[in-house]
Amino acid sequence: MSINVIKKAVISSLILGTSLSVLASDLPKEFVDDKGNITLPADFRTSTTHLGSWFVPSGGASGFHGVYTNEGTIEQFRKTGKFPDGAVLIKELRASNTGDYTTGQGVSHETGTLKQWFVMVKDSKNRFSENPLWGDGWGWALFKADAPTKNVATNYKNDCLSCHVPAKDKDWVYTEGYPILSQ
Amino acid sequence: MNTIKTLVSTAVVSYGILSSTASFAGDSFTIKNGELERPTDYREWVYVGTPVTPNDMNEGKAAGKKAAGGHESTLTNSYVVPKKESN
Repeated sequence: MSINVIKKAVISSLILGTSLSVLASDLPKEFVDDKGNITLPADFRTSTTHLGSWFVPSGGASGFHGVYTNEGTIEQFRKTGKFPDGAVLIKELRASNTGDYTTGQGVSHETGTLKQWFVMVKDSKNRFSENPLWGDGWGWALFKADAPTKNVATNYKNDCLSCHVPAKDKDWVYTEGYPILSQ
Repeated sequence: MNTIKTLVSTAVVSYGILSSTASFAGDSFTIKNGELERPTDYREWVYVGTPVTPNDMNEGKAAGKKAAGGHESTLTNSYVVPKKESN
């Protein structure tokens, strides 16, 4: 192997390595590391913006689903109608209770019982094509209440995507639940 | 209207003060001549919860559809002003 071939190989590997690093670093570091591992920061409730809420009265997903997004996502969506690269969506599921209050009878409210969190990270550049938790334009994660720092999803196609199929034409997100994206 | 009431209440409670003449220019909300002006950037405050409020609070005219209990309901979001950094 000639010196020139070795030089080219070294240079190519440096360029490739640098490119991958740059691409990964475009994503918000508090949510994604350079290998595509998704984390849920403990302070997300005060560091992100509330996007919308769902109330599910019964069933396995019953309770309140509070959805948060990172800084800049709403502004960019309002401009383009699309979730920008690096957008983060966090859905927190909490149990609910119902009681009578001065506001009326049968008021449902959130309780302190956490159920789980879903996290999606928009990836328009297909950064982690070999990672089974990344695809269809997003990184996907599921955190359970008994281990909130561990992403227990292993393959987004098996663990996450099926619930999003009806929203495929809206980039897999039920945007009708988030009117502030357009107001 | 109820959302506005909630916002007003929350903002007042968060600061714990209400002056008839105070003005809080540069803060998250403003009180002028004893009147609290409706904040416009409250969605960037810290979100604290969303009770599902039935028809009763809405003078019988809730905008939402019937919930499982048969009542018209409205999601009422509450926000508080973000923590200020100490100087």
